[in-house]
Amino acid sequence: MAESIKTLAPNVVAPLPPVVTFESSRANRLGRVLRRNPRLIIGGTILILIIIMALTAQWWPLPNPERGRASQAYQAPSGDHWLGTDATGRDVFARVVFGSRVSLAVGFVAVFMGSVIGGTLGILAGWRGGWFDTLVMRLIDGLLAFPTLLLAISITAALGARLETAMLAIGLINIPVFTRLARGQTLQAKNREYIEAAQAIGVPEARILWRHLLPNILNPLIVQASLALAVAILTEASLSFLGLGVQPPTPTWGGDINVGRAWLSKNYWWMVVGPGAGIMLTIYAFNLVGDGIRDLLDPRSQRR
Amino acid sequence: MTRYIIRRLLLIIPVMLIVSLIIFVLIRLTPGDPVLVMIGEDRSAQAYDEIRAKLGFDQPIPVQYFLWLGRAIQGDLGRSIRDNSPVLGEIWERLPATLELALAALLVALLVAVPLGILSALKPNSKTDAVVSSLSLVGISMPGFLLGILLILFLAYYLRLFKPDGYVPLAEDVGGNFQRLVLPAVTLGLASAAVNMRLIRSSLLEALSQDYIRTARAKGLAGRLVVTRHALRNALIPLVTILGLQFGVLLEGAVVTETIFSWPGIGQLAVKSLNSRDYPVVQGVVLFSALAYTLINLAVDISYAYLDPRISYGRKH
Repeated sequence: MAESIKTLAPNVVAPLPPVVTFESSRANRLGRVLRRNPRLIIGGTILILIIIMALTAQWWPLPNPERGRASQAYQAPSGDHWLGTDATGRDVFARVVFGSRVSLAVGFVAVFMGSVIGGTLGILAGWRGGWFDTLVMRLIDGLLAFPTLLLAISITAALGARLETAMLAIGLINIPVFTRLARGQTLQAKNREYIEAAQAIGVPEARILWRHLLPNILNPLIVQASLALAVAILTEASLSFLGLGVQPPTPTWGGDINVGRAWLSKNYWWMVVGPGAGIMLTIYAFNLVGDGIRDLLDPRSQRR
Repeated sequence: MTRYIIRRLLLIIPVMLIVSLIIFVLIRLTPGDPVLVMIGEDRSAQAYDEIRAKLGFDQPIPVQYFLWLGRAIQGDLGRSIRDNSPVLGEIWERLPATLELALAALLVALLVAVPLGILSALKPNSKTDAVVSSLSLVGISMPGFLLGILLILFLAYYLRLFKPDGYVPLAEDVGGNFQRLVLPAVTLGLASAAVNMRLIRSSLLEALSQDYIRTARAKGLAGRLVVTRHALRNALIPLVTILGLQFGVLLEGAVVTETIFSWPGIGQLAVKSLNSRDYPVVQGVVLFSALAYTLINLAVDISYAYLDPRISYGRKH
């Protein structure tokens, strides 16, 4: 029952795809698929632009995002400061541009960690069965019992609010979904003929898992990862908003919104709107890409 | 059925043991010496040792875990470092506010999600469907705190329709309570509505494609009856799951929402305690929420059997 708990999309658990080799027909499918999948194109384009922005931020002709002049505080958007300035005279636009770095870094590292650890645990649990399976799944049940944001909060409280802690905490809360998904897929796949055939001709276990099993259960994991990225970035923003993410003066979208909201009653809306747009656009793009990838890889979820 | 419920209740025990172990490890990792905090003015070595022994901190760590667990099971979640009041008491005091907010948010979520979800499922790939789907994707992409802040900006500061923050107990002033409840409830409810809309759409579509729907149509049943009596009833099963789980999500979303709107529930308690490094309270809230979350999941599973007679929990196949 609880399989669908932590996934935004309840139908990501795909039936096993037909047996494919890893490289099969992917290239010639790509063109056709992209044409039929505008969401993937739109989301992908926005996302690539945001990633380029994050990677090249230091070469943009922007004021220092961490230092400002008190004389320039509280300025409304203008030609000099596209998104105005904050309470210490820092350029809000520069902070929005640089703020993308923390969000993307935490999102990617956390989901990478969650999918690799969770996926590995799930495959091994499903493959081995027995006491190992029981142990892993009980641990996962325990992790799933926590409301995710609260677990992330307690971890950051215990280890201190830093970039690495945010990555670790969000990575950890991502593990259970991937473990359950990978285990379920492995259980379905392990009795299929191609696995039995590989075992019969004496292929070593590790090689069976890596070369035969993994490619055949990878699609749902990729779909889950792409959707998990959106949630991870949302969680990072919430942590930063609560003051538990990367600490100031480093710009973070969530943190800047928290600081800016104090000035809303004075009508300094620009301090919130810039970073808010940054978060929304990024998560929106990740969701579009996630949906697009799901339509691409999971035949059951094709929109009717 | 009874056997199933008992089995599920028993299964909660290992889960909560693991939960408690994780929380205990987190407590041990947390910096700061709780003895020094409790000792107050009298900083003599003797007083320190006394309190240390009283709290059981002189015992080996595994023993400490069981001591802590024993106390937690009896409802003793420790005391607040800030004002030395019992943690469970603080949680209990703030629970009504959180429950009120969560229920109101759930209501908002249902009022938005059910009609829109049905609308878009009845006309798949139409313009209505496209608009509803885009709206729900925007809703999913909008962090709760951002939506809350925008609502405060427009509805409270510009239009002055509602109060931006604060809380008046329902029993004292119904109107005042409502004025302050609307914005946080809408903030929390819309995020959940966005998820539910998609779910209702896809599960109703799935139900509408089943054989029994074709049968119902073939025997000449009116279109409306086919949808309400046959399809919707089956489509609502996943909705019950999500609603149950959403309740958990709402409790969690309360952390951020309550902070923005100064709503005195357990979410705000967690954040306040975190900022004042009052870790026993934080961990108490986390333990409490995990237990609540687990029990809600159980309730959801049991409600299945009532909604769908095909699901039986008597024996495992």
